[in-house]
Amino acid sequence: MIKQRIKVITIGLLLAFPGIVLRLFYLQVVHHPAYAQEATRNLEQYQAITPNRGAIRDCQYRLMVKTAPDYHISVQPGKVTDSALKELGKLLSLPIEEIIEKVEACQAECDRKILADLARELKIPPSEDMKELGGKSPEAMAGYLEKSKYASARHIMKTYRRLKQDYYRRKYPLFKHVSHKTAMELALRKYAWNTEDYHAASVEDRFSGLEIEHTVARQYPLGNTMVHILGRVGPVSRDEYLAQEKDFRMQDIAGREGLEKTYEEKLRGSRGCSVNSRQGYDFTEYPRDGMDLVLTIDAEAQKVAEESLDLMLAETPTATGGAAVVLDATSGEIVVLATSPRYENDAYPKKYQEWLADPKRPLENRAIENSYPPPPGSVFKIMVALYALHHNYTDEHRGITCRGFLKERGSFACTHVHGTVDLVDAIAGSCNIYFYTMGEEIGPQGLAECARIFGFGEKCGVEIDGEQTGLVPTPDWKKRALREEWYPGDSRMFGIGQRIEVTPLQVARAMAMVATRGTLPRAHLVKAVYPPDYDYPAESSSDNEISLVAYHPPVHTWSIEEKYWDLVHEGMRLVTEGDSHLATGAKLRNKLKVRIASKTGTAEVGKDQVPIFNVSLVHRQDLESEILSAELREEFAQNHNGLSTRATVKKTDEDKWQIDDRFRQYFLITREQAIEIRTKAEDHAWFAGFFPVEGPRYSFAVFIEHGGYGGQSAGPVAVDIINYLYR
Amino acid sequence: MGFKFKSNFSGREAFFGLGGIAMLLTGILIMIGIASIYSASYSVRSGILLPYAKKQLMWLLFSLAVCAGIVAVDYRWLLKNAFWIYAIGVAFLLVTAVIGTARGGSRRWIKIGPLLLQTSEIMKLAIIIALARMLSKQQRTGSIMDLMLPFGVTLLPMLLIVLQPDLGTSLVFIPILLVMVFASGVPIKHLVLVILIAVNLSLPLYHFGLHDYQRKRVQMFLFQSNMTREEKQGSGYHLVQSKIAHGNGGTLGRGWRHGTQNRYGYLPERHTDFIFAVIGEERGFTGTTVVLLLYASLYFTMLVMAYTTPVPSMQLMILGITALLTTQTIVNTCMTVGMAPITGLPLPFLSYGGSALLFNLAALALVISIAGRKDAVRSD
Repeated sequence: MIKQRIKVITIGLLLAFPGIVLRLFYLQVVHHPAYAQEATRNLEQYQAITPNRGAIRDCQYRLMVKTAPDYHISVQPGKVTDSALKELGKLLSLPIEEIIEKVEACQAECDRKILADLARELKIPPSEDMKELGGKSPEAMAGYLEKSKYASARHIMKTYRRLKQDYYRRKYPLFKHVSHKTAMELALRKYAWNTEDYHAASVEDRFSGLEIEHTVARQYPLGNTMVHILGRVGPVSRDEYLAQEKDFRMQDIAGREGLEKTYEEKLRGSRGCSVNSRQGYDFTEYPRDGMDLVLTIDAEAQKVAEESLDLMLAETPTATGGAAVVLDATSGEIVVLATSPRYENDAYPKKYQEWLADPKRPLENRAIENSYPPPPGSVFKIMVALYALHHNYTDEHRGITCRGFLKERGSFACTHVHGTVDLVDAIAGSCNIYFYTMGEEIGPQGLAECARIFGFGEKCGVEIDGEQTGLVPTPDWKKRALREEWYPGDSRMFGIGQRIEVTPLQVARAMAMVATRGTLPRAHLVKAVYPPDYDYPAESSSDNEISLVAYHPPVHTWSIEEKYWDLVHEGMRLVTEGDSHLATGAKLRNKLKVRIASKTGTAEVGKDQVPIFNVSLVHRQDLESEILSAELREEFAQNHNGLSTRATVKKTDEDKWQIDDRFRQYFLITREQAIEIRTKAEDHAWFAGFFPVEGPRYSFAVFIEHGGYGGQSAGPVAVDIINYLYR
Repeated sequence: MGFKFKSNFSGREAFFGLGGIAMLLTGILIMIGIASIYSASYSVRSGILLPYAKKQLMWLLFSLAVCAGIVAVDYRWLLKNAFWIYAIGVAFLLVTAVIGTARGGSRRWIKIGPLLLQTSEIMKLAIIIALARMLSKQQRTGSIMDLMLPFGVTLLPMLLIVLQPDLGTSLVFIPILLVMVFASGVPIKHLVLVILIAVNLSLPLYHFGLHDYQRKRVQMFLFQSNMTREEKQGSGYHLVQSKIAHGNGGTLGRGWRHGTQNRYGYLPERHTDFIFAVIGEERGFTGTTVVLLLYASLYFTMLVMAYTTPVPSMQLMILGITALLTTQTIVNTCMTVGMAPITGLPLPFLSYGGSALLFNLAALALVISIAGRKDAVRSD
């Protein structure tokens, strides 16, 4: 019996070994080349050479963002000597005590890390005991821990020494951002490059334990301008590093927002490396620097626009933000894309929470996005007029009588009593009654078509993230989103540019279409991408760059009779040049250096109809101001499926306020909250158009959020920009 | 009956017959081991040659002296006192659990003077002796309950070793038990049933009984073909580098002391657990095949010795020792080529490690001792 079983066991044994031999054959003979290559790769020491990130320049080739070398002096606490510190003191002309203090701070940090690691490795709970031990000598610590049952004193000492050796050999930053001159001086002395025998190993390192670290930093020579457009760079995240898609290294930077993000691939360049093999060969592959971006933006004009907006915001207490856009009407090049308020690029990670909580929302680029998308107001009347002319709803002779209101009762009022006005006067004087009538006659489908012709309700396709589409309302949409029928009143309001939601960039683009008589241009920010060593001419001219400029074909064209354009242009000209008692922008005329065609707009927010909740609630919760508590907001969002809605703020009682939304749900709020909501009730100001009147070159749009009447707050900003461009 | 020195011992049978072959094969393996340890103990980075090979040689001399003593003792004395040997083994384990020396988070050693003794090594031999006696003397009823006693006797020390924690060593007990129980003539259906139960228990044990790092190693083994960059640097590092070392060797190897994985320190634990990868890199497929051939021949010889031995208790003892050595050999070599998860089992006779060498040689000495006495026993 037992002998039989031994035979079975023997067979089992004799089968097991050939299995391993087969596996070894597979590894060692079949796949030998691949593994040998990996073993060779193990031996190679890669030293990555980071390419310079491409610069960003404005249309005149002025540097807006550049990469500059950044030097730090670091210290190895275990290696540094007193004489090295003395030398450093001489070099930086700092007292030696100060430097020693800094080095000691590094050492204290090391000791703290060592103790923490020690506790972890020996599985000693990081209790108060460990804290007590922090100050004591390792011998005393070992003596103490010997009594504990976790590990022997000898083991602790061994671990401690290993950790100390490890941590004290690492480099720690001592002086950050030292000048190029200092860094070179230190390098020269350290490696004795100025002596003849720098190859000799005997040259004593006078700065032993001190190293120069070379990194790159993004610099903004023009200061804190265009932060939203340029975006920023940030360290590569752990996920990106692990994904390996772009071959990032841990210490790499990558574009995080704006153009830095969109053009990451082009700006980044490709990494070079030098390889040192231990088997005696080395080679270097040089890095390829990133490409330069040349923008359509005029940095000077941009600066004028930003400063003017900032000033206007400071002067208008109700205003919460603003934007100004100037387009080259024919090509769609964005000359100015300003927004206010802006965050500071330098303070990015530190103040982020503060910016999130700021009710003025500095993180938003008002030119292309808004948590509370504004309607264009009367500016939209231009588009309605053109559509009405083309579809024969009106002509130059039709007159409509304005008595200051549409019906005896109801909310359809006009700003003045205009009397009987024709189309040109209606535009110049911004008569609501005329366009209520137009809106009602054209009807919702026609108005929506009109809006789409001028590019509303769709993204302009500008090269940075975050652009909104806006909203073109239709009866279908209203039913779906608000669960309400479309009333004739809605058509009337649509006719004067309410209900519809737009971005300033869309308005400027629509104005470019008006200026060019029917061509909707493709708005873009990047004019060209240049190779890193490109020799820029002193002056930008079309000859030398035509080959490098990407072609941006118009989005679409709309052909209508020339006389309709003439008529509307005439009306727009009269906005600033017409009779002062009628023309809405008459006060601006004297300030302008060039004749412009324009339109003011006052987008009604409604005196007690305040948009509190809308689509942004769901998508951009981080930008919601703290009007309501989180629970209330959540409840609202649930009840309305997160869709757009408006609510009324009412006073119910002594110091009792409530929000009443469309579905007759009441929420009591405090007085302060009610006041904050009401401040938002100030109308949005718009001023848009094109210039010069003859042979229009630029179109523009200025938007002041809760800025009140259009000609008053938005107008002056536009004047500043226009005067700059035609100085 | 007290024990008699050299009682009935036949030197011719022990040293020139099958025993001689076994000793010769072991000797060659140990020499290969010392040469590889010598190669593995030099680091190019630090330029230091650590004295592992010399230490291993000293341990070898010491072990040979101990082995001479073991060969001199009549193994029947050991069998007679199997219970006490087992009891002493368990007592050692219990003592270790209380006053043992901890290293790297587990408590496996007791300190005797300058020596650190891994008590589970004693237990391995003790369990073989205990099972040999128990299985040869047991009155069989023919039911599955016959298995209760041998399994219980094995599971108790296993549990103590798992708690140290030292999962790898405790798992070695399972093949020893199975081989010995199987050879003793237990009905195969009983064994199959027990194995099925064990397999079903292993899944919950995997999820609830293992430490995170152990589970990670199993995962690395199972999914070794698609490791992430992080895993290659982390929990899969041993496996990856060991495979590169083997593959780098090719057919004939890089040459002794010329393996780059070894000399530049990419291969971790290279003088102990991964000594086989050092051989794979420096001697290539030829070297690894020769080493495996030597092992196979040694264990085959031991099985033949078991086959030709007349007394069941002797046979079982030899089989237990063969199972002990074979298991360690197969698990260790498989782990270096990625056929088994990484466990801390050294390669018998080749890996650096004094007490492992001592106890493996002691086990072999026991086999020699049996071989030298088989004729005398038969004539009893």
